[in-house]
Amino acid sequence: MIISADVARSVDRRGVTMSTEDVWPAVQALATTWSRSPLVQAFLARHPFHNDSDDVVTEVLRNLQGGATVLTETPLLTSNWEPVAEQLPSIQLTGEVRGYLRKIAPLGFAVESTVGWVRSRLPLYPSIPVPQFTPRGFRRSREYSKRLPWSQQILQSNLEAEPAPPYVAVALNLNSNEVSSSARELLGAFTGSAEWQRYADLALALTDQDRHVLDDARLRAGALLNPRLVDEYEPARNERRNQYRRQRVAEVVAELTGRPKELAAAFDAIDDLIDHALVNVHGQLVVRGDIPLIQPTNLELDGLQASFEFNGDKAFNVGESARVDDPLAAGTYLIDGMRMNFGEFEGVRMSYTAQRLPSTENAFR
Amino acid sequence: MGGVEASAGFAYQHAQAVQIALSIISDATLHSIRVEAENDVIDVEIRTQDGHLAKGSQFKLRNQTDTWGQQELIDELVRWSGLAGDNPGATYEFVTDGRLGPTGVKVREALEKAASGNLHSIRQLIAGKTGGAVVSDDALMRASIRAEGLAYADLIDAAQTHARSLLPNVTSAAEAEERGRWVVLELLNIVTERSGLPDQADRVITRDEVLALLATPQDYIPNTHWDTALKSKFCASVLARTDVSPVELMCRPDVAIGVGSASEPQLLENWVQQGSVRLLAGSSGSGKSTVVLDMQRRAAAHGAVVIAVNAEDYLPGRLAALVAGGLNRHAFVGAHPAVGAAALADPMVVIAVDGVTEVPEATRDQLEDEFRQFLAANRRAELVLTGRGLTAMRAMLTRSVTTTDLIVCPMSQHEQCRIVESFYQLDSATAQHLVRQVDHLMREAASNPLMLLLGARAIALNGSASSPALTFRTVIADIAEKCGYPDASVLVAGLGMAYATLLDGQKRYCDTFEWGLLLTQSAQRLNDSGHSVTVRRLREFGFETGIVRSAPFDTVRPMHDSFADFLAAVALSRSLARLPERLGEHDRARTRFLAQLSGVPAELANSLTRDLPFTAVNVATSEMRPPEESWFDETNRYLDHLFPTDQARPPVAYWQDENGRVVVTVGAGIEGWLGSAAPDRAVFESGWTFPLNAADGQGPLTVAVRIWHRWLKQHLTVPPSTGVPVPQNLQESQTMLAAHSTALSQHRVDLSSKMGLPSSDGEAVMAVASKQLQFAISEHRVDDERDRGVWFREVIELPTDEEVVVVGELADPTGWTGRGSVDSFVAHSAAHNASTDLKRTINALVGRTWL
Repeated sequence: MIISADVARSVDRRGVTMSTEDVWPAVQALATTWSRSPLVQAFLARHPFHNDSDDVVTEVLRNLQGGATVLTETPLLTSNWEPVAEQLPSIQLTGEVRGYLRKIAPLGFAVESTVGWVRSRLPLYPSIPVPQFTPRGFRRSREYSKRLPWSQQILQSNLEAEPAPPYVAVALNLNSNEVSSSARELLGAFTGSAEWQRYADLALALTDQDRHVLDDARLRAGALLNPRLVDEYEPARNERRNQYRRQRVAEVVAELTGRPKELAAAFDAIDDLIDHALVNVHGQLVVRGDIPLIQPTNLELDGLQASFEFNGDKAFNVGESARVDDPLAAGTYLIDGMRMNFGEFEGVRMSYTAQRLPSTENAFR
Repeated sequence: MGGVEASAGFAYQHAQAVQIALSIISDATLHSIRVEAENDVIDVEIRTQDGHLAKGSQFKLRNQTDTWGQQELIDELVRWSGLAGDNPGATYEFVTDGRLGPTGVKVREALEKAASGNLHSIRQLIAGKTGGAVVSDDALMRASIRAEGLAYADLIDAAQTHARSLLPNVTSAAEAEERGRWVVLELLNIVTERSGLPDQADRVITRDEVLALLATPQDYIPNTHWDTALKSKFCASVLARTDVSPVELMCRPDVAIGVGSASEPQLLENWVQQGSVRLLAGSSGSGKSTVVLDMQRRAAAHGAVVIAVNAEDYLPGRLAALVAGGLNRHAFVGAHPAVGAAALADPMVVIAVDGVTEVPEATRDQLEDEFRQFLAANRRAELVLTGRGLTAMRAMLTRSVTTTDLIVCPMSQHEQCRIVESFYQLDSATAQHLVRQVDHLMREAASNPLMLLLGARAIALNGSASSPALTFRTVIADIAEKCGYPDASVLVAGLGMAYATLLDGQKRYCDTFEWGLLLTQSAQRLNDSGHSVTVRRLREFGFETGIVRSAPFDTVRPMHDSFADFLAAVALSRSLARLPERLGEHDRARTRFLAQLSGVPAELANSLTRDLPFTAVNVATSEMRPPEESWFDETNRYLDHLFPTDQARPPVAYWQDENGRVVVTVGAGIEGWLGSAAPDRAVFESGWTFPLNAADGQGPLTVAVRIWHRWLKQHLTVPPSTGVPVPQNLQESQTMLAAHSTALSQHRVDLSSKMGLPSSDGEAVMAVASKQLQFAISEHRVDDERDRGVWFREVIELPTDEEVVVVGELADPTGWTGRGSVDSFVAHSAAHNASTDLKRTINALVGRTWL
């Protein structure tokens, strides 16, 4: 179902009309705040986007991108990077490299804290009854994935009672008032978004019967995802295990009807919005400072999904966003697929598939 | 006189002698002919039963640009006059293929009068010009001059026609043709041999000998046997060929599934497998014939026989004759059908039949029957078939026949460079530059050796070869210019009309007679539309430029099949020919060229989407249409053709955005040609929307093809994950693979029937679905079950005593087309592999990576 964000508006406590559109300036403001952090500056100094040298750390970051595309898919989730680097044969973890990765890991914790804190304000938190929320499901599994999971540890850390995301000011060495105020702005924008409102309205309307249906579905998903079954299907490969989990949960969701099904869909929408805004867009704004405007060719739109070619100086990668300069496709698109076509005489042609971020027509100008 | 002229002269005389030998049959008073009389005046004598000279003939070959003048002819008459007295009653004829000049014509006319007793004119003409020799009235009355523009091929052709009419006890037209041809070849052989004998008594061919030749039943012919001597003579003829290709092209299996194929490209002979028929497929110019001829040469080098024949030379019921023709291909080694029959039964021989898919269906059916009998024999030669498509070739064999399906490996860039380097004598840097340009402009077509060479030449000439058709046009213009034809465009169109007619009959060749008729029609039509063209000029243009060539067995062929397609397209693009009502396999290439030459008008797009949908996809990029309202109806009509009948086509709306671009929205509940009445964002975002690129001339076919592409993608895209758990032991792997094979077949059938294509494209797609995947799984101990080795191959039907999954080590993995591990089939689902197979088939039909 497509939610028309322009129509669904809400009014916050102060009587100001809010909408999904307001999420993006709030994310921009957050990024501006973070950019002042000495840790962020130290991180960026050796980041391949800002550093062309063959410095050993920069080189390792390039290999991390080449092997696992973490620099563009999870640009600030640095807390994961050391374990990922350990898995990549192309990377040699020298003392210096390890030192750097550990030094920047708090950035990742700051992202996790911020995201977790925003999530904690969702109605029904921390026992959201949708099937995706089964503890064995893809969104909560502790196994590595490119999405930031709803980890048990954070669910239990009582974030809903915190006035601001804990630990961020300390980790980033920023003024705590400044962190709190930008976090509050951010939260206001999220809660005013159409996606949040939709989810909240459904949560509020949930009947006992609905809850009963959802509990059953969650149990069913849990049973299907018995670790023994997952191991039998795939003992080793991470992507296949995750994919199995996604598949089983999707099957359970597909069996739902009515409000329970709508709630499950609404949960996905707000879950995606928070992650795309705080993990992808925020990360990109901190790392490269902007969401660039591009002139696409061979544009094709399919609802919110687009495909196009773009042959600018710097290629994009999965996880990055760009503003598309075409009246048909006004807005910001999060790239979720890319292909390179090599031609000897016309150079490399890059084609992308991307997903439009909601209400971004006027964002990032 | 140069060597070539001398040879041409002898050939001409011998061909004339053959005609004379046949002419004495109808007159019982005649006894024999003698070739090369003692004197220098007469080339062929006809002797009566009592030994007198009845007629003497002198044959002179002359360049067409020169003419015979009066004095030269008088000199010949003087020479005859010296003989005439000794041979009372004999006539003399001077025959030439040259033209008579105005004075020469007068001599001929004067002699014609003399024959009836009026000697006045001839006397007046020769007066004072005989160099003092006395020429008797009698000699003049018995002399005549004949000038006819018949070349060697025409003479042989006429002789064959004559011989056919003389044959006793003929049971079929095919037999008459075969025997007629054989008699003439045999006579030619005798004439050639005897004219060189020193004793004049031996230079005689008697009427009885000719009668015996005419009476010889075809299947019990003379004295040449399939023995070591003949084999080595044949091998020597193969090795004497001078046109050796600079690169030996490899072949590889046409593996239907892409995972872990371990089959390295190999030379064609290395793909031999006891009892299995090798099928070599590829588009025109991909080098199939070269691959076969290269194999033949390598085999001949160590005394092995590979006989290469062309299916176009096949006469129904005459497979043995076809094989004999193959033995005589490089030099006449005296093979006749009985020898051909012996070769067919020799297990040490390989017989390669080229172009089996390019002959008309009726002929193909007959050939199919003969193959069936041949393949059922206990002792038989190995068979290799080459053609454009595996499906069509496989359809010619009984299902029980095992085949090794091969394709010519596309050339590597290194090989391409070597071919260009060697062919045009270039340095390697220039060759490489050209090859890269050709690859760039012509993409897949450049892996075809012919197109590579043409393209390289066209680019070197003017760099404008931006499509295959333009490349052909440039190349032909260049050849024509070199051969001195400034009006080539008219002549090209004329040849094109002839080829368009041939292609309507599903072929690209014909015999000399038919070619003459076709050119007559072309000339007529061109003259009607105000061009001044003669049949002769058209014929000469074709032969002199090499675009058309005469081939053995009285066939006329294009230099390469692609030329026929291109020329036909030229005629079509100039409205001098029309496409048939229904398009078939043979129209694929010419419609592509046509689109490249003149875009894709509605009528063409309509036929293509209906009859050759994947060719419609190919030509969509050449559409070049200015926007008009009719696009909406056109797109719908094309979609009706492309979509399966049980599938509703989505609504299509054409509109203009604020930048004036034509934009298409599909499946959004709006429909029609909306012009500048652009729909709301919410409306077009509820469907699928894309702007058209006006500079590329994108039009209604492009739109239909894109919509179909999306539909196919949706139906052919399946998640790569299998849902299959990792097997833990050999037993589980075996079960998993067996299930994979079954599921693969099922998915292929499901997917291809879902597409619901009624045309020959549909058949090609369906053919992929009819095969089964067989596995051979290793028993070796492995640390991780997913690393266990697996061989696989596609079979049409499982051999009766074999399982889908064979367990154990293969004694001989030849014939198993690919190798992978158990993991390949855990990682890629049967549904995914089935969809990949179909996509590959479709892309091959489209001619580029479309899906």
